[in-house]
Amino acid sequence: MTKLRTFLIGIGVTFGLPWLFLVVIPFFQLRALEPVAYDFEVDQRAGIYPPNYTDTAGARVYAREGCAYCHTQMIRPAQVAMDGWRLGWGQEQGGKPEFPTRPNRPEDYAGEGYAFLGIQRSGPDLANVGWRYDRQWHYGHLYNPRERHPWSLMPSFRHLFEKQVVQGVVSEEAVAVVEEDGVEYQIVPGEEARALVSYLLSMKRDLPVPAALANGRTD
Amino acid sequence: MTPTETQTEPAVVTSRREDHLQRIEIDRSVRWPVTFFIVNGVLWLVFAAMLGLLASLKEHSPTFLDYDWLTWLHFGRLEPAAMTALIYGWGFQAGIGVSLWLMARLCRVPLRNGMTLLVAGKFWNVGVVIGVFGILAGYGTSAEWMPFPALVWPLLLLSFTAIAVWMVIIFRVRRPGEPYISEWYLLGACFWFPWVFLTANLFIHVFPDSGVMGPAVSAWFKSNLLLLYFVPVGLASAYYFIPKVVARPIFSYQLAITGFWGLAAFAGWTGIQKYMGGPLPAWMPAVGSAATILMLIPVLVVALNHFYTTRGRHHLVQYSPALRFTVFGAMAYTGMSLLAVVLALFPLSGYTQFTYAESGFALLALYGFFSMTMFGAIYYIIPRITGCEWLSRRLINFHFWCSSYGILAMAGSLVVGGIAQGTSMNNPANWDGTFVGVVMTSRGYLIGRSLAWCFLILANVVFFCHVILMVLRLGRRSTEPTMFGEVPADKGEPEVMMEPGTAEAAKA
Repeated sequence: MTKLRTFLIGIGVTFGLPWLFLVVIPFFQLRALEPVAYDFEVDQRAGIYPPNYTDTAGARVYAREGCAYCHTQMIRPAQVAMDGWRLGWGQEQGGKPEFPTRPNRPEDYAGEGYAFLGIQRSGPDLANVGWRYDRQWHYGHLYNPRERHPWSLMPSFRHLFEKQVVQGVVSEEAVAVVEEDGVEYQIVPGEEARALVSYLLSMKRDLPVPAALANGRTD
Repeated sequence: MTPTETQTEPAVVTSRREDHLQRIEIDRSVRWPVTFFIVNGVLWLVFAAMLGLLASLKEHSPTFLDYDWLTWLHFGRLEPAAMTALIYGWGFQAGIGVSLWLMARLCRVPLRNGMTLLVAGKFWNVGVVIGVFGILAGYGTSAEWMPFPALVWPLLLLSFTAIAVWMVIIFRVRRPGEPYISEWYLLGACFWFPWVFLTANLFIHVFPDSGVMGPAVSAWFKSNLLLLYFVPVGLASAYYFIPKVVARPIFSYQLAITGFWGLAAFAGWTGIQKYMGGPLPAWMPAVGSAATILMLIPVLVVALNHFYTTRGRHHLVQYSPALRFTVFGAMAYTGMSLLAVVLALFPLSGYTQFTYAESGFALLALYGFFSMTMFGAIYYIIPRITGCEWLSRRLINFHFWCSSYGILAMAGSLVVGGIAQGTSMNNPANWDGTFVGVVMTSRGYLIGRSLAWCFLILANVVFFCHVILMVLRLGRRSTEPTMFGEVPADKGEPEVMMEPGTAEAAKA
């Protein structure tokens, strides 16, 4: 049986090396990163980075609806790709920015259970989508994406919305009002749509990096 | 030494007859588990192709089937469900079925107590059913190639472990002699898969707060599942059937061993290049790219070995279904590895990363290489475990051409479409445009992908019916195997041949 033993040692070593050094050690180094406080003297900013923990309930909806199959959440460096220069992919929403949006770093995703960096980019990147639209825009877009962009390939997420009888005034959050058999109904976002939009709105991953982190120190 | 020459020695004739009888006994003994895995696998393949078509249609025409009560069935759920059905339903079950048969035959040990295998197989199927329908029902996790609800993985792991233990036991009680290269690949797969699968699932589904390491582990898992399960099983099969059908030992056993250890050494480092330029320490994707390029060494070693083994007998692909499918798979293996290198190049990543080209690579690997190799093996195995021959060479021919055109159209449209998509996304002139340009550039190619799925569905419905007829023992009662045409006498008779890995083959 020495043959089998030699074989097992062989694959144990050849596969154990990448397993340990590429996966296990980096995993425990990079998981559960803590937010870092800005140093006002150096950073000219107060508070912590990243400032807001993302909405976990929203991230769960994002996962189960498979959003990551079409949307990425990572800005690549300007020397490789155009990501940083694209309009609306960073904080700057107006004209052509002077500098590209910065590429992401592990700390940008601190506090997230699983960073949905994405599988394909059939739709725009969402790394900093929180700057881009307000809550109501997202509701309308999730309910009927082709109302915003007729060419959009995004599915409609109507199953995340609820139909209610209108009592008195139509809700401000209503995305549509329909009349059936003389009764007026309003379509309002359900629990899950709210959570999902909270998650989307929390994505602002291009804030300035604290000098302590940028210099490679985390203490 | 040709088989006819060896038959002139009487002692050899006796031992050949005994060998033949023993092979029949072994084939009989593994009949039920192998049939179970293959039939279930092919059923999942048809289902996966249908889900794949639906997902593809939904991606380029999102208003298709867009009823109010059906909006939950959209691309974001269909795509992971289709991949789960394809990988765990078809890929693994075909892989396990073929591995069991190969292992028993190469170790020359008949199977005792196949019940464990059947029970494990049933649990595996329960896991896949929960996985696929769990994703469709909205319990998916979006981790690539393991998007099923978290509760599924222990079930799959336990079932696979039971099967792997059986394979190791068979290996340990094998008839004495030097193990053949296929046995090493199969054994490797038995150890690598549980290791990779357990690590990835612990880090993604069990430990909370994986942060950026979540997708990194998932990308590593995807690459390793491919290179350390599907590739070893596919190569084990190719290393058995190519020498078997061309009736010649492999060109160089030493080269084969080098190829094996090359794969073992490099595969584990690949995968994270998916996120190059992303929020990970830059060395991680860089190592992934480098290892993917180094993987060309074992790939070319295998390609050379297969090429020289068949040299001068390439014409046999005209006659033998098993060889034709296997050779297609072996060529696709080289093709997919070259494509992997293109996708791993950092300077090109702006044009390829996150595009359809990546999905084209995945399908070329899973279907063009792995599935085609498995089809080849199944065309050889099924007649031996059912005792009848394939009904119609036309159906096999149809399956082959429909599959090849389908997968080439699929990979072609996705790779070209992906590059078009990447180019549009990366065009500085589009900096302030909406995403319409990217969407419209790639849409035509997505329609091409839907057509390709139609081809694959057609091919595999025919294949499924053919397999079912065989399993019901409605095949041809004949001693003549079903070939694509009459093999000319002077060009070698593919059915009279040596057993790869035996002393006889080693002598030759």
